Amino acid sequence: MNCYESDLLTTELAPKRRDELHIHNKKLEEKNHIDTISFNPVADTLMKKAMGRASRLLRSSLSETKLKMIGETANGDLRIAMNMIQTNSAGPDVSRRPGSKIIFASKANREDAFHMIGRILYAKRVNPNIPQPKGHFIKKRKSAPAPEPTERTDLEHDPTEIIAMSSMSSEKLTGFLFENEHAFCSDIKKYRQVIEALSFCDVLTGDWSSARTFPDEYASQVATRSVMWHNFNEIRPKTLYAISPFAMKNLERQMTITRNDVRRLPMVGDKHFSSLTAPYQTIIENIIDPRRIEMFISRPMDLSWNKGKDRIEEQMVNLQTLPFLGRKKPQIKKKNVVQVNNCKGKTDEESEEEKFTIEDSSDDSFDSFDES
Amino acid sequence: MALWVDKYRPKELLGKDGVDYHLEQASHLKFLAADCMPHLLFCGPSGAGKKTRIKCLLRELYGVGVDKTQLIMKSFTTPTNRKLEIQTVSSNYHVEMTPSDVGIYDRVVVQDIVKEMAQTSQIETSSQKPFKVVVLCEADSLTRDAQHGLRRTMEKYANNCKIILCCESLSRIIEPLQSRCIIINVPAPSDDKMRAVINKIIEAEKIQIPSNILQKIIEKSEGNLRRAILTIEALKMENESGISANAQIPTAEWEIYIQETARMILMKQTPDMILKVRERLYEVISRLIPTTVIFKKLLEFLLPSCPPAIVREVVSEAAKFEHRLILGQKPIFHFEGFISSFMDIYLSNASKSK
Repeated sequence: MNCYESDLLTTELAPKRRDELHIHNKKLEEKNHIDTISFNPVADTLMKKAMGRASRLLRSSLSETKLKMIGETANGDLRIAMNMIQTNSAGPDVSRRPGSKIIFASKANREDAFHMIGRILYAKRVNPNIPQPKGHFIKKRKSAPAPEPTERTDLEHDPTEIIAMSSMSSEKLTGFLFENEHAFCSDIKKYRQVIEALSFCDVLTGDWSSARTFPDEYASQVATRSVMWHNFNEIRPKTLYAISPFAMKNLERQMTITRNDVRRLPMVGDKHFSSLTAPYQTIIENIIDPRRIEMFISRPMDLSWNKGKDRIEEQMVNLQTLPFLGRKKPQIKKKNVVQVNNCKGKTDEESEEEKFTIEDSSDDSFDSFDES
Repeated sequence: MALWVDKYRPKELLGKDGVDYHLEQASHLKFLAADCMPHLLFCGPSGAGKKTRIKCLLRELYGVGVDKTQLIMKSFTTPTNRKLEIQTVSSNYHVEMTPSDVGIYDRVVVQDIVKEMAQTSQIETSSQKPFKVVVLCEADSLTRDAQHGLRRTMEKYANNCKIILCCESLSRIIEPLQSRCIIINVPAPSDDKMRAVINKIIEAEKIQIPSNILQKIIEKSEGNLRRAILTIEALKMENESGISANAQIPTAEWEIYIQETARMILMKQTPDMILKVRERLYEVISRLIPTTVIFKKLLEFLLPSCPPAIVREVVSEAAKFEHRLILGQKPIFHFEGFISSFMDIYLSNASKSK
């Protein structure tokens, strides 16, 4: 329940005297059979009202665009929003700050994060083949772009400065670099070195005895410098490459749901339940209920994990019922059941992926971002 | 309807309903149960009969009352006020649980359970044993902190509480814990012993299996008796009208999937193929297959197609990334590291031979 939306709870939780607080809580719980009170993140409209009210109480209120950006960044956390409003309202030059430029107090900015990742992946270097423009001559348009140098020159931006662009953690940064490196590295030898460095970074951040020895930026530095070293003289994606987030995050969330269902089974100490017992038990006991966790674990391999548990169960029901049409009792499903085209079309439609788009760095969009 | 692995599980250490192999070890266990019992550490590969021997030992100690178990969901609170829940199987005489279900908080769980069991001693010490038993399954998944905490607990409550550890590998149990237990090594049964057990089950179930199919199942199981029995039961269910000589042995679908993935790796070595392989590995990981099992299967399917000159290098890279797989938290990094290393080695060897 949400305390903003329940009038009963709001009324009852405002006692007149302090010693009535416990009595009201106890009576309220007994009367309404309340076991748990959980709080949701603050809704967007309520967040907007709260921020507007807080901003109007200040000496110079913030603009609407700033409040909107703060609301998006806080993501339902009112304390973060209030801290950011206070941070942006402090200082001598508050009123002369541009409309869309705000100070992010606690969380990484989304755009800064993707600029950072794009800058790492593109790994632009100083090109000595581009001639320096003279003062008195009109710059003529070149017929062909300047060729890339065949040997490594200096990087346009220092890796330490790139890492400082965003407060993204090492774990998240290595996840993003891992997910997108395949598009920037076509040589298998270079790709091997980069993935080995990312694998080493996971050991640094994953093993707790080594994670407390090194600072957190250490793994970011290793990952960034390895990617920028090996992403040299490669075919780069040109226009509007979509940076994918790390798929393992969603996978971990899905696996946690499945793991909790497995733990509810009446068994202790079966380490190889998923790999050994569940696939054979599905065949032996002829389990056709997709809500059974044995059937869910040993489902056909083309039912992908990223559809979510409910949609997977729905498609499994469709798969199970189609061969049984016209039969009196269900029989064992064969392995080579032909996929129905309608189901496959539905599968293609439902596979939606969340992607973020950044521009190609050859358009100098990062430079214009720095100038603003 | 019980599975055959539970239906035909031995219930006693020796005798008519006793265990089918390692009989000398069973007599040793019977002697240990009659005498004052020490802490025990059962180790051996999966499917060799460790849990069966533990159950038979408990039955030898306490009688048939130990089979009347109940599932209890116990709650614990960590020092950081985080609530944990773990499922335990309990009888009047013993508690059985898997502490690795709670992750890095297994030290709290193990110590609290043992203290709770050791607080109360047995009332009738004349007709029963004066101690209770705590069985810790998957003991090699315990963290180092939990194992160090357990050694003090074992010594402190040694009179009231005996601990039986069950693990697959001794190398992940710390030395002080090994020295405080008697190590019972349960090796995998040989092919002849497995055939004898399976023939007994086949006679009891009155089915006919051709001998070549039986031999193929035994070879495919690799000493895992649970896998062999499950395969035969699945084979019977899939062939209701009788098992022919060229019947298809049922295999878990994720194994076939990994085999196809290995074939894809051997066909083409580009980053685009690595991306396709990554998606397939996500599918296998999402079904809660243990990552070390996936790694082992992948290497098993890749090695027969390797040229002999690069086998040593491939196995070395596999060992390195499997070690990182255990240390790290994102298994897909280490899978991809191994696959890209394999592709590079394979491609270098192919271009060298031209």
